[in-house]
Amino acid sequence: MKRIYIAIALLAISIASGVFETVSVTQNSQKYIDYIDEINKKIDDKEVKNAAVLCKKADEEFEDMSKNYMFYYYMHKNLEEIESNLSSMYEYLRNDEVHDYYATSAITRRKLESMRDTGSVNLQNIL
Amino acid sequence: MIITIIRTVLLYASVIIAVRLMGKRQIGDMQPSELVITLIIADIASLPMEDVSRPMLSGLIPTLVLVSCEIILSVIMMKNSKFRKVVCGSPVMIIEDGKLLQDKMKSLRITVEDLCIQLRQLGVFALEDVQYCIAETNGKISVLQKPDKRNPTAEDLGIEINDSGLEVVVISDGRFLDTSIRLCNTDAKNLNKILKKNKTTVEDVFIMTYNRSGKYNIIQKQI
Repeated sequence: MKRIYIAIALLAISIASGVFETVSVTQNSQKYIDYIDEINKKIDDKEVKNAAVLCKKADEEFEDMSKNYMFYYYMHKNLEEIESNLSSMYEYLRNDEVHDYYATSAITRRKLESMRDTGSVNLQNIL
Repeated sequence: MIITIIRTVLLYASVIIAVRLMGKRQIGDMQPSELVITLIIADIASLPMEDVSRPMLSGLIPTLVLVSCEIILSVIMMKNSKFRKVVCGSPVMIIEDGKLLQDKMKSLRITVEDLCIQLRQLGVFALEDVQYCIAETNGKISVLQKPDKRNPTAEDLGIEINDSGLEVVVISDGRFLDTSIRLCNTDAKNLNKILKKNKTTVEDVFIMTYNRSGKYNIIQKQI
């Protein structure tokens, strides 16, 4: 009977890990999508310098977060790609290359959306 | 490459733990669900081993879930025979009172050749010698031969045989095996006495077997 308790404990750990992924990591992905939306808004308002500062902040925060726990859950190459895209976006804004920024930010946003949606519990993901 | 090696070692350890948690059955004795789970675990664990970009949790978590489900399922099966019947099926009689039940064989998709092979592996070389044959849920067959073809037992022959108990290895490669010593109701002190009588020491013994009636066999290490 000892095994059943171990099995239940392991199942609980697995479920906790899954819930953590769904709640925490999904929320964090949404946070960076919101960052990109905010940066885009600032660019639309012709505040490119402020947008660059915000982009830098997003880049640094994402790097910290991915080093902390995101890599436990997501394909490492996807995380690296988002990280390098955020750095590129910052460089584009710093050099006033807004068109290039938009192209990269659209790809990054799509990847973040994919990360967010992969963890959410819905029929589409299950099937 | 170092990362791959470290991951392989960690995943290997996790698979070993998983298989140990599942129990001690051999491949041939596995129920269908256990065999499927073992194959899936092997496949899942290999993915993060070969692809370092994949998080290790993608191999570990499904392994944990599968093992947990298997253990929980086996406990439910132990408590509920109807559930066990649904998951494992039930044994099917193929030969009853010496008569081959062809409809049962058809439903199990067993040919006469398959049956003969399995019977030969059990030491039965003629179909007409079989009184009962049952296809078990793990895919093996159990056979009871006709009374005139069965080996006579001591009881049949009216012979009394002394119970010498289980013969176990008590010393292996120069070391006492405590569990085995307890099994044959003796202790290291008594075994040391025997060794002294045979002019040897525990360090010089390769294997020593012993049974409850005190019979022993010593094989010394080759120098």
